[in-house]
Amino acid sequence: MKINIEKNDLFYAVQVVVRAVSNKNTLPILSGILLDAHNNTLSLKATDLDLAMECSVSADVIEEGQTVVQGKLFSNMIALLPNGNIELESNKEKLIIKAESEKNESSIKCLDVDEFPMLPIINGNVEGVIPAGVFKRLVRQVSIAVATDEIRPMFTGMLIKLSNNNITMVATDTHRLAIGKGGWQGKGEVSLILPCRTMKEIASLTNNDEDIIKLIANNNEVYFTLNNITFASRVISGQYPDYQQVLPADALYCSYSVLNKDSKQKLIMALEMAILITRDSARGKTNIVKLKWQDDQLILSADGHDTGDIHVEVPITKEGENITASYNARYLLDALKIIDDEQIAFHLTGPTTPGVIIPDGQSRDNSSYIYLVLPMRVSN
Amino acid sequence: MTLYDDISLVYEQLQKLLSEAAELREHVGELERYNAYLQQKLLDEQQGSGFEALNSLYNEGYHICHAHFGHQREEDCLFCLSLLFHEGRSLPEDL
Repeated sequence: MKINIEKNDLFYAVQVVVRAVSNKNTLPILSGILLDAHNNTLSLKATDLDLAMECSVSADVIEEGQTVVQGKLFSNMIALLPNGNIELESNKEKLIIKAESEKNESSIKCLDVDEFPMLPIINGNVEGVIPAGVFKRLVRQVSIAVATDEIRPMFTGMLIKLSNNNITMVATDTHRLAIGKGGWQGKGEVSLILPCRTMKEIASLTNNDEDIIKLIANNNEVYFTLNNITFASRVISGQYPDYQQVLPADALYCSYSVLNKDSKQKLIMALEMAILITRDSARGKTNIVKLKWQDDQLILSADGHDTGDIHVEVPITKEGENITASYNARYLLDALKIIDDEQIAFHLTGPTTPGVIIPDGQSRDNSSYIYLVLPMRVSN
Repeated sequence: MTLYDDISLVYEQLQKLLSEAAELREHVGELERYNAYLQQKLLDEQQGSGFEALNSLYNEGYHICHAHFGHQREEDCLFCLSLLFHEGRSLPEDL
């Protein structure tokens, strides 16, 4: 393989695919990036078997071929090179890197190309496009509820449901549940559980909300394409639990309250302070706050015992019963921070049963975002 | 015995049989109702004991939801509580 390529193009592609380079030492070849030069294109590929990434950039291909180099090392070396033209030339043993402008020549050892796993080629019966802005919002708002506990792999993933031009993402750690809804243009229906990391990586690949993410999927595999980047992900096996069953029936809601922009910010600040105060509580359960919806006030209180306490009153507009319930402050804070709308609404069913936080002005059934959170049982 | 007498006797026996059949139908109805009552009672008892067992297991600190049945839990679980709610039609008293 022998090519000439602009440093910035190469660096961009390396920075993209290095995310998929494995950090584990179990299979050394997975620490590598495959460089594939063909048809005046350089394609870089990497995979840790959970996700696979490919990024193609234009290059002046003098001699077609493939080679595999240590991903992190290659990335760090390219980052140090000056802007301008770079020549890459490989033989079986090493890749020679020449920066013409600096008369800089270095080489790194190659790994065995034949050991590099083939990236999946997907034939999907589901195919469509979704605006990057919608995708990023859904991932940001839903991923907060993903479980971090690897003992339950299914809950470390996000459920993606595609049907009837609607995309729904769902995540839960079984204490809270987030549902995000948006539109997509495509054909076919599918439900997949994808690793949260995969979704976050895709969302982080663009800052332009106008970009279009193309998706191809079948029941076992999924492919995303964004500009010149292709992304394949492992699908988490298993049947995602019926999340609809945990949504309380309409008849169970007994309290509805709205926080305006100022009240929302006050509550966010109060929750952050409460987390500080209750962080080192010696009583076992940390970050517990008591919320009291009383007439036109939401009263937050927390007792850190050894560290201090907090009492904050936030004005609200309320209909229905007065309710007092205890929550994990971090669960509430996560939701309040990621709902972009200025006003939010609490829909409560009781002091020990799940409550819902949604953007105000939207119905529970059709809301673009629903965050269901369970109160904590606290012994007095 | 005249033909008229014979017909009267047959008619009398027929009335008696019809009366017995009506009584039997009524008795069958009663038995069917009682059977339905017993079946419902048995079903209620079975459901009740199942619910109590699940509730007890949950309160001892174990998941009862399909995803993690039998695994230890530290906090309340949305799916377990939903299951208890749907089984018991109301949340357990000690929740």
